[in-house]
Amino acid sequence: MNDAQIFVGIRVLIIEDEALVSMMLEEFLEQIGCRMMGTASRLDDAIIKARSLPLDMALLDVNLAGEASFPVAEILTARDIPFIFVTGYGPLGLPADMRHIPVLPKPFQMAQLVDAMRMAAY
Amino acid sequence: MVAVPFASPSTTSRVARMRATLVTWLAAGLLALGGLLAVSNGFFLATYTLSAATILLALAAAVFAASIWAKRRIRRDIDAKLGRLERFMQTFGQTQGTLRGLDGRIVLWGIGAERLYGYCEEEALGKNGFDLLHTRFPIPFEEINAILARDGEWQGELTRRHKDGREIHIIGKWSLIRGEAGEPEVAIEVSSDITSIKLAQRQLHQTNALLRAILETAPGLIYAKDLQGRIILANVSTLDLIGKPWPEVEGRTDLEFLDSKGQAEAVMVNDRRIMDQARTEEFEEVISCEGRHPRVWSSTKAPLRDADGKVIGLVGVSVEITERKRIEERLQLMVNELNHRVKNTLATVQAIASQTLRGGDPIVRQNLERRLMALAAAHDVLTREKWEGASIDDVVTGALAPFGEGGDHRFAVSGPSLRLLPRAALALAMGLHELTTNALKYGALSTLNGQVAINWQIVEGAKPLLRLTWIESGGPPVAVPSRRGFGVRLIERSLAQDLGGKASVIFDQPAGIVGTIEAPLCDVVVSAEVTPFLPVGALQAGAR
Repeated sequence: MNDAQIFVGIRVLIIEDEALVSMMLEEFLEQIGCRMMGTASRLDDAIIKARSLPLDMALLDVNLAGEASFPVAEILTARDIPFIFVTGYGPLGLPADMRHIPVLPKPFQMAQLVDAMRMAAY
Repeated sequence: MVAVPFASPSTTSRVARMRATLVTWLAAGLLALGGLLAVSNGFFLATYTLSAATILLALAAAVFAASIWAKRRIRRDIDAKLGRLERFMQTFGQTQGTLRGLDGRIVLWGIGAERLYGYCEEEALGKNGFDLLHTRFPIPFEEINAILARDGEWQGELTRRHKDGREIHIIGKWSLIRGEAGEPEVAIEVSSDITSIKLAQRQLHQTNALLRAILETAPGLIYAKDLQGRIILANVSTLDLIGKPWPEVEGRTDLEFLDSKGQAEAVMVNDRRIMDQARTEEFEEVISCEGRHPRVWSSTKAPLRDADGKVIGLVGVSVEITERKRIEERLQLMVNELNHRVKNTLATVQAIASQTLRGGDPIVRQNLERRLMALAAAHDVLTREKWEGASIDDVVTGALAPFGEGGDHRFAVSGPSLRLLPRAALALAMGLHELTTNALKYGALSTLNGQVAINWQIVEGAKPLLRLTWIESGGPPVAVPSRRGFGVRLIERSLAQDLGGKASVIFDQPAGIVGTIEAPLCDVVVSAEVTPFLPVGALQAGAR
């Protein structure tokens, strides 16, 4: 877990509609020393938080209770905040202009989460 | 010898004969006069009358001689003419000509007729030709006779029967020969065999009818275009789609029929390319219609060639697949949604386990996580294949992938290409995951040099089997565990059950673990014949 030290203290937003998955993500991130800035499970909430919170990184579920979360992705891109998609779909479910964003397929292991975050950060 | 049916002396020979007869009578008259004088001379002037009678007799003798000479010349003349006539008849007989009486009785039958109809002269002469040859007339026989009597000739197609029973078609040319008084005497029949032409015509007709039937019943568009893209053939479906009758379609191009001129030009450019390359091609064409969704066509277009093989246009068949495409897209969407749900559920299960096991044995948590991951990986393979089946190579590779980093040489994978049914694919993926985990912990993969050979093959027999073997080598000495762990039990029970076969794990000392999975091929492999078909209703809906 030493390579995850780079994430100590970074501010993260989790956007995920499955509460349990969201909780697990929080637990994972806290283990590697991230600072949890907040969570959102609905699109409108996610948009507000993505616009307003001070962030270094975001984890973004592609499907938020049936709604695509791409508007959030656009806000994060505009703010130049690195993020990863967390999805059950795989990269093919993404619009062409977002295919370069790292994708963390569900279910995932912690190592995969760290890899995806590293890819997004650099 | 050809039978000469009648003798019709020519005008010239009749005059010659009359002259000869006249000379004969003259000679006879002179002879009678001489004789009279000779008889009477005894009573009157003996000396004078005797000399006159002698002169008359001599004259009569000379005239007789002349008449005999004339008759012989006439005879020679007639013989020569008869000879010529006979030669003509023979030659006529070699053609397919015959002569018949008005009642149909055959009076001349040559070698040509024999060749055509199979009957020899003896069999034909004197018979009624129409009965003998089972003649069928195109119009009633009485009408033909009326025409023959009026015009002196008739021509038409007849069907007759050869001696061997086969039907022959001929064109008959009949001419009437009249006697001196103008009364009909005999008829000449000259026949040309057109059986092969008739058969070819009939075949052509059948081929045309077949083609027409195909054109009108095929559930799609069938059309042909010339080099300039002008339509030269279109079936009913094509005309229906265009919405115009054939006279308004013939010779026009797509520019006049498609709503979008740009698309029409693109279609014509593509057509032109196919004609230039002279190669058949299959592709999809998307044609937009005003006020409607675009329609998708699966088209096959082939160059159309003339008799010399030169490309003179193209023939196309297009079947609408709009509905099929829509269903395919919906199916893909549903598969994506299903996969999304499954993955989310797995992630939720993972989250529940992770919360539940918090503070417990991290190994347990990791084991659970890895099993969930293996299940998810198998789902990925199936999702890519739309849950119709999965390639066994993909399943095996997918199951080994999490362990293969930098160590691909540790696995030797071999076997024929097969498509597994979804259930079999999931079971196999889970089984391989357990075997790999076990090998990493206790078996061949726990050492630096250990290896695993994974091989599968089809065991032929009354009921062919799929046999997959997992053979470890180069690992530490194997100890038979006192208690069979979950992994081994999962393989031996769950796998065997899901595959409808049997599975065993042998702790083969000292070589390593040997796992064998056997299952009836038909229960685990997607049958080649069972390709997923669309429901018939969807096909029908998509036909027009």
